[in-house]
Amino acid sequence: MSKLVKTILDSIQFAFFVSLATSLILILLETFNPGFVSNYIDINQCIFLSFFLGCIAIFKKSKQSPALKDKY
Amino acid sequence: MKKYSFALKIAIALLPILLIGWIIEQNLALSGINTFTYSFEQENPIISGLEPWQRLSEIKKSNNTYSQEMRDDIIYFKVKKINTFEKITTTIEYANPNAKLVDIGMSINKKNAQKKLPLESKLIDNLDWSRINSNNVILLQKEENFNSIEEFFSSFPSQKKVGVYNFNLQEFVNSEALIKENVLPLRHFHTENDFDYIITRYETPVKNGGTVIAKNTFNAVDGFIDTEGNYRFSISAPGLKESSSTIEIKEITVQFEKQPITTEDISNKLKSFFNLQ
Repeated sequence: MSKLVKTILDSIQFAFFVSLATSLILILLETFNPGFVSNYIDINQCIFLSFFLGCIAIFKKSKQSPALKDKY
Repeated sequence: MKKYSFALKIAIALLPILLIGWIIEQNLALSGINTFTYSFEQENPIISGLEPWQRLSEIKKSNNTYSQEMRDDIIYFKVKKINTFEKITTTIEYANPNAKLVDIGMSINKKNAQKKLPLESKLIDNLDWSRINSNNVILLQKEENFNSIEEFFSSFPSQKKVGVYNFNLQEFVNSEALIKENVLPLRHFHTENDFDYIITRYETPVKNGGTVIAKNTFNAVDGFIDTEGNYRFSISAPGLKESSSTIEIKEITVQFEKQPITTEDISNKLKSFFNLQ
């Protein structure tokens, strides 16, 4: 795997964790105080973003998995 | 490469901090001002659509701007109460070819009684009488007999016809000098021939081609809040239906105002948010 691809995937994995944490914070704020977040942004968009980044992050993991390494 | 990777991660981590900071600012209005705009393109969580639908056209789009036509004398919209504010300024952008008076109203009790404030009066805007303007109070005189508004109050012309629009004369003029028949509230059917003087607390709207941008400010504490937590507003144009005319409403902006929040206020709000006090 080239260095550039590794850096990009690494950043995407980081972005996934950040967006996941953000989604949880937003859901928590919305639960405490309905409308606190949903009056201004769509929380679903944040969750979809986490899901999307998570899918790519899994791709990074599979690239690094020893089983795959042995296979190829 | 590591350097760039680190910088990228910092940028990624900053984004949600900015997002959450912006959401907190919108909710708590730390700066003291919170503004929302409904331009008919999509639903707004704070400002409702106009109602009732029977008095309105469908939302239409022309030249990438959306609008809705008002076809009756009065229509309503709701504004969600999101915090405690002192003032609510409503700004309406519309095209009004014919209606002589346009008012904005806010419900002040359960029975939907409205406190009405002026948005536009074509009679006042187009009158070429002598005009004295002081602290947003305008005195219009058919014949120039007074040099100041104070002089008008002190030597009130009881025998002349005085039109009153959004102004309480009783606060400034001795009640004995006020003859009921000669002091008339300005209505849409009045013309300049009906009055010798007009006194009003009125801000001339901004007119840009066929579009009018008019605003007025209510005290938020006066407003009635319904069971769903909304302020209720109305836009009225008396005589609109009778004249078979319409008003094309293009944008509604609501600005909430209060004192900016200090650090002490923030700590109190956090305590109450997490039920610590």
